[in-house]
Amino acid sequence: MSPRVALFALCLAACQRTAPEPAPTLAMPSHGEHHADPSPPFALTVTARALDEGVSEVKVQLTPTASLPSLTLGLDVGQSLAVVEGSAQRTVANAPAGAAVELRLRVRRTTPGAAGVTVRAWAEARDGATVLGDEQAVTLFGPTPIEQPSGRERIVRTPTGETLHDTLVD
Amino acid sequence: MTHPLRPIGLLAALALSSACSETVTNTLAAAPPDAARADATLDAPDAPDAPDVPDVPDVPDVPDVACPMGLTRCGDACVDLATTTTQCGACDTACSEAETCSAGACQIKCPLGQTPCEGVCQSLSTDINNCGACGNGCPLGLSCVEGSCALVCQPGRTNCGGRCIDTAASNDHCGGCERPCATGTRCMAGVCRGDPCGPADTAEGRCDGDAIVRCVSNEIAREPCGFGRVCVAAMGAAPACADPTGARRVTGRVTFQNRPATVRGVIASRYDAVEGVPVALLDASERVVLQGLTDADGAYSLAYDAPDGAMMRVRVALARTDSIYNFVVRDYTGSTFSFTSPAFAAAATTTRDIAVTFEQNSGALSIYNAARRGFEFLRPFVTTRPAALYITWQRNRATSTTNSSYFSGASSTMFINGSSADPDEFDPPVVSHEFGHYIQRWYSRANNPGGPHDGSPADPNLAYGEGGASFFGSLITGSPYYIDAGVTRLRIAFDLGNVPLVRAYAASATLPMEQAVSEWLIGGTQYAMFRASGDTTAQTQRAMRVLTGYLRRTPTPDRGEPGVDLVDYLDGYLCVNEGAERATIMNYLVTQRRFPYDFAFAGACR
Repeated sequence: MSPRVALFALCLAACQRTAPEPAPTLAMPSHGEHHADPSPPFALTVTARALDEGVSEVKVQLTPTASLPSLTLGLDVGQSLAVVEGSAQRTVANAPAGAAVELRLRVRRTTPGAAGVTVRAWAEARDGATVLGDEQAVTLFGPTPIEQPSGRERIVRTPTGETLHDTLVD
Repeated sequence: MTHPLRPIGLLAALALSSACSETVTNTLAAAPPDAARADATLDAPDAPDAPDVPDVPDVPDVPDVACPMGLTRCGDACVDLATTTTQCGACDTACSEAETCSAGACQIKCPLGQTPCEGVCQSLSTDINNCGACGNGCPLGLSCVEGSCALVCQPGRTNCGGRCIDTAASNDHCGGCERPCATGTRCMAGVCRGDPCGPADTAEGRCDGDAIVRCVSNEIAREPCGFGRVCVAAMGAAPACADPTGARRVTGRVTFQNRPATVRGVIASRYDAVEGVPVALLDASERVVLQGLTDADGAYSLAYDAPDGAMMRVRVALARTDSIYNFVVRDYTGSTFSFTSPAFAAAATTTRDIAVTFEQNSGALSIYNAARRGFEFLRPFVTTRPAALYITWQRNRATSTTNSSYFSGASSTMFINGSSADPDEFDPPVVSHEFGHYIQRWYSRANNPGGPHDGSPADPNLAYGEGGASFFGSLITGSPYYIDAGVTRLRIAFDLGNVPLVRAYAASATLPMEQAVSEWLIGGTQYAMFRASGDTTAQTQRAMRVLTGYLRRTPTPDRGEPGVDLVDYLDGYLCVNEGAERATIMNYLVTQRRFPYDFAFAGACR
C-alpha cells in the first residue's frame, strides 16, 4: 500500500461533513469581542487630483503615532506613468509622533487615453529586522475598467443540504 | 482600607451626603431649616458619647434626641453607617478618597457598571467569577449574561431547557424549543415532515456513495464509511464499508497561488501545496463517491470503481471535523469554499491537479493551511474535540468596519481581511495570531478589551491579549517573525526573538507593574522565555500549562493590573521553571526590558 493510499486509512468518517460540529464549552469566555490584528503606528493616505490633460498630482501623507528614527515614503508609479515633477521617494530622519510627513508628485500617463491607472504609495520604517510599513493605492485617470466576472464561481447545494462557494478550476 | 476620623473632612463629607442629611433634617425638627444640615454634622459640646471629636464652640447645641431607625448617633449627628464615607461601619471609621462606603464597609470606587469585589472592580453583568454578585462564580460551561449564569449556545443552536439544540434537526425541538414532531415524522430544516424512509430504505441499508443509508425507527440513518473507504453491496449481501478495490485511480496535487512574505519583502507569486485537505471524488450527480486527504506535498490518490465512460469530478472542500480538527473556511453567506475539477471520464489512471489561482480564491486555501497548523499545534494539549472555529473571508472584501482581521469570541469566528488595502489571506502569522485568540478564548483566560492596537504602550490587559496571541501564533508557524504583508510591501515585520530594546519596546523601571506596555514587549518576553533553555518542546508545554492550567485556577490568579496581564503570565511561567532557566528569564525581563517584576510569585505556585 502506498503512503498516499495509507492516508485514507487514517481518515475518519466525520471528515465528510463540511460544517464543524458545535463547539463544546471548554473554558471561560473572554470579555473582549473583536480582537484585531496588530497595525503599524501610523496612518497612510494617498490622494490624487487631475491637473492638465493626462497629468495628475499625487499626494502621499503619513502621520506617525509614535516617534520613528527613520521613515521612508514612496510611490510606485509603474511603466504606465512618467514623473513630471517631484521625487518618488523621500526619507525623513527622526519623525516625531503627530507630525505629518508628505510627498507630492506630478505624473503623466505614458499611453494617451489610458484610464484606470493604479499607483501604490508606501511607507516603511526599518530598525534591524523590525519593519513597520503600509501601502495604499489610488487610481488615476478615471476608474479601473470593471473586471469581467469569470463565471466560474457558483453556489452549490450538496445532496446533504450544505452550501458550497465552489470554484470550477481548470 | 480604613482611616482615622478627621473632623474637618467630616464636616465637608457629611454636607455632601444628601440622603443622610435630609433624614436628619426631618428628625431634628427643633433646628431651623438652614441650620439643620450644618447642625447635623457638628459636634455638641455636651454629647457624652463623642469624646474624640473636638468642640466647635460657635455652633449652636443640638438636642440629644434619638436617631431614626437605621441611623446611628455619632457625636450629635445621626449617621447612616452603611453608606457614609466619613463614618463607615463605625463612627470613627472613614474611607479614603479612592473608596466609597457600601453596606458599612469601605470599598474601592469603581467605574460606572462595575462593582468592587475583594478590592477589584468587576462587571457583575459579565464576569463569570462574579456574576450578579461578588463571588458568585458560574459553573463550568456557563457564561455570565446580564448578571445571571446562562448557557450561551453557538450560532445555529438554541438554548432549550439548558441544552444547546439544533432546532433545524431536533425531533423534540423542531423549529423551536418544545415543539416535538409527531410519530412518523422527523425534523428537517426546522419543519416536521413525514416518514423519510422510502421503499428502498430498509433496516439492512443500501449504499449511497461512500455511506450506508438505513431506515432506523422511521428515520434515515446515514453512516459514512470514512475517507478512503467505500460502500460495497454485493449481490444478496448486506451493504458494508470496505477498502477500495477499484481498478481505476485518479491522482493529483492540490496547490494554491501564494503571495508569501519574508522579512526581506513580498514574493509576488508562488504555488504551494495544501496539506491535509479533503479531496472527494464525485459522480455525474455530484454525489460523493469516496474521499481522501492530501499529504504534505499536496498529493492525493483515489482508487474507485465506475462504469466505462462515467463522468467524474474531483472536489476539494475546506472543512474538517475529524480527529483534532473542527473548522471551516467559508464566505460571508456561510457557504464553505470548495474547488472542483472539470469532469473526466472514468479511466484506469487519471491525473487531475487542482491548482487554484488568486482569482479563483486561492486565499481560502492559504487560510486553510494556516488554520490546520493551528489545530495540529493544539493536538498534544487537548483531550476532547476542540471548539468549532469558523473562518470567514472573501477576496477583495474588508471585514466590517475595522478593515483588519479579528477574532470574535462570541461567535468563535475568525474574520480574515480580504481588502486590497490589507489582504491577510496570505499572511499565516496573522491567521495564527487570530488562532492565538481562539486558544485564549477556549483554553485559557483573557480580559482583552479588544479594539485596534499599534504596538504603542497600551492597557496591560490589551497588551497581554495581543502580545500573547502573537507569541502563540509564532509557536504555530514555528517562526519568531510576525509578518503582515500588503500586496507589494510589508506592513509589519517583527522578530519576537529580537525585539528592539528601545522606545516603546522597553518598560520603565520606575513605574509600577501595572504600567502600560507594548504588546511587542510582551510577545518578545514570552518568546525569550520560550527560548530560555533551548528545549523549545518543553517550554511550549510549560507555556501551555500556564495558559490552560495556571491562569484558569480558582481562585483566579490576579496580580498587577486587575485581569490577566503580563504579571500573571510571569507568575505562572516562573512557577514552572527553575534554576538557570528562571534566572535567564529574570535577567531578560528585569535587566534588559526594565520591567519592574517583583518576583513575588512563590505563593502563587502553590
